[in-house]
Amino acid sequence: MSVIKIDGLTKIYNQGMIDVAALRGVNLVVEKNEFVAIMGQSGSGKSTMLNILGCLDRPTDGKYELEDVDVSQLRDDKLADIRNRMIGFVFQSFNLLPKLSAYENVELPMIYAGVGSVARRKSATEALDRVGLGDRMRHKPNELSGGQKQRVAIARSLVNSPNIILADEPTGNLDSASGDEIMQIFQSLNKDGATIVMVTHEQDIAACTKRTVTFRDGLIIKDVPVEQKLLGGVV
Amino acid sequence: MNVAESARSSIKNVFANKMRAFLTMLGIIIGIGSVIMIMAIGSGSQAQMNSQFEEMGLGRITIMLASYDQSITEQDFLTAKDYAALKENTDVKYLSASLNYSAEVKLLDPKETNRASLTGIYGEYEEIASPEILFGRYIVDNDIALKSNVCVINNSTAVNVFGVADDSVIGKQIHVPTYRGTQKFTVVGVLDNPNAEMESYFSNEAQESIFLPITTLQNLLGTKRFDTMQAVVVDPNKSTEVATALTKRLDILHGTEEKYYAQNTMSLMDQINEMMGMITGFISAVAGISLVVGGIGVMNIMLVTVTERTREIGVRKSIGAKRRDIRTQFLLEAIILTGIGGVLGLILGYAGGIGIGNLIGVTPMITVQSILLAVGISCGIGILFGVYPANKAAKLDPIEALRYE
Ligand SMILES: Nc1ncnc2c1ncn2[C@@H]1O[C@H](COP(=O)(O)OP(=O)(O)OP(=O)(O)O)[C@@H](O)[C@H]1O
Ligand SMILES: [Mg+2]
Repeated sequence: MSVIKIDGLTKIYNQGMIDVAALRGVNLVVEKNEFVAIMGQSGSGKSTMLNILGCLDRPTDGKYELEDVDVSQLRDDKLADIRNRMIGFVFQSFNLLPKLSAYENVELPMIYAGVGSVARRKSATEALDRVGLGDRMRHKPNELSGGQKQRVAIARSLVNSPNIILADEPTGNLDSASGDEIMQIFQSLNKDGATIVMVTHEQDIAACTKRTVTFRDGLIIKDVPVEQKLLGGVV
Repeated sequence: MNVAESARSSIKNVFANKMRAFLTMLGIIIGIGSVIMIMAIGSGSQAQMNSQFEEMGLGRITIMLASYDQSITEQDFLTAKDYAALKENTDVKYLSASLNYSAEVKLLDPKETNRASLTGIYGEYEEIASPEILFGRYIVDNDIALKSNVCVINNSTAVNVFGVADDSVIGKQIHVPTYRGTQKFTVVGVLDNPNAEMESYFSNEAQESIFLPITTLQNLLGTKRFDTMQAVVVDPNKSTEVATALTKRLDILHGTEEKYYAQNTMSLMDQINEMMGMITGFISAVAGISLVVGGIGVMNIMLVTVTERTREIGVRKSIGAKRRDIRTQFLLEAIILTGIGGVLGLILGYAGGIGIGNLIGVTPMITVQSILLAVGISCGIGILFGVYPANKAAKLDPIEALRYE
């Protein structure tokens, strides 16, 4: 059973008179516990693809099965439910809510899932400990560094135990040291069984994954396994 | 997401920008404030009027002929027979009748006279009109039986006729010139009439009030009839039923149909209350229009808020918020805004009511209903004007909301 199975995925943006084909029939299968890097030039359709995988956007055509369930044409609320329980999404720009503390940001997906406050406290604390921010729970995003913000975002993506973690250039806004910290966390999560698909521009970052998929003009042109470079500290 | 969680975060969001929240609430505060103020003054003066009615005595019925047109015959007039018949009704506590005659009375200077109203009554009229007897006594049953030439006068009349109003006037005679010669009545009592001054102020001729045994006046006028009858019922709450029973009884006695009319203080009070309620309601409704303006202000700010927080909505949706969650959040924010505005308006309106009440001598009254109404209406406005912005937020596409700059 694959976590993700897409078949002939197409996305066409209508821009007034002209149509832009961002994805032109992409096929991809991601198995459980894989760690995939998606690479390619700017504008090749990586983000478009990841947004569809994250159920944030719908394909124009083609089939998308998540855990063997066709989700390509589900209704809004059903998709919200999938985003909530099955997917952990990490953005390049963190997308934390500025008025909430780190703890409250991490707690939020569980509130929408209807988890009770005692269980929430336990999971949120665990997730923040896991990304090494157990001592920063009460801090607001603007009191945290970029790397710390991204770690809060990763903790938030973990709390509902998703089937897959999707990350769109998670290190794109960070210096290389902070980027390595993030990759360390991903490697460690992957080691513990997490399935991860991430978009990146950097060869160094891609080298930390197990498989690289390369896009060009809305199509996959290369899909190769990687000799994973394990970062220090990953246990 | 449960309501408690939503409420918590909505309150936080509302208070994140206190100045804006206050300005948005202002329309609601003013609207609710003025409605509450008017209602407080309205029910205050209504209560005051009702207590005046109660002082006057509830459960008082006045019976008279319904109309005085050609259809009225000699047999229709009320007489002592009717008095005796209605006296049998056990729901009636006191019963009197009255006959009025307009005459003149000689004053201290015997060449001068004043207009006087002679009122023939039964002794029980004392219980109905409940005057204060300053000196002497009231008309009693014996006076009725003997048709005695005695009278009870107001203290103001005593001053005009005898120059003083003390117990020295008891036993003195007043002189009333009539078409049957000057009648002399011995004063047996002096009544306090605190309204005398006001009465003379409103009627252009000074009126002296003289009460006589009804039989004495009937005798003088050569008639057997009464003008009206007055009753006090045992249970004021049953006034309307008793009034109907009495007029029916009269119709049977006289072999007529609906010839008699009974007016009772209870129904009069009801009528006035109804009218006051209508006036208060109307003014409140006009003031309530400002609530609509306030509501539009709330809608405007909520739309701005939704636009400003598009990205937040995108983030919430991306981590699993459903349409319902977003809608609840923004709707609750609108309700909290207007609800708090309503409570502040309530306080302000009551304070204003006390202020204005002080000026016009009314104690404002705030009822549980008006509190519930104010809070209910302000929350209702939150819902009414919050639904559109909340729905707009709920329907945002997650990816477009996230891309919003
Ligand atoms: N909302 C949109 N409306 C119209 N066209 C869009 C929209 N989003 C993306 N596109 C277009 O689709 C194509 C793919 O964009 P996408 O964002 O997926 O690229 P990308 O591979 O993520 O690039 P980058 O590496 O710069 O992030 C681009 O040509 C882009 O202009
Ligand atoms: Mg991109």
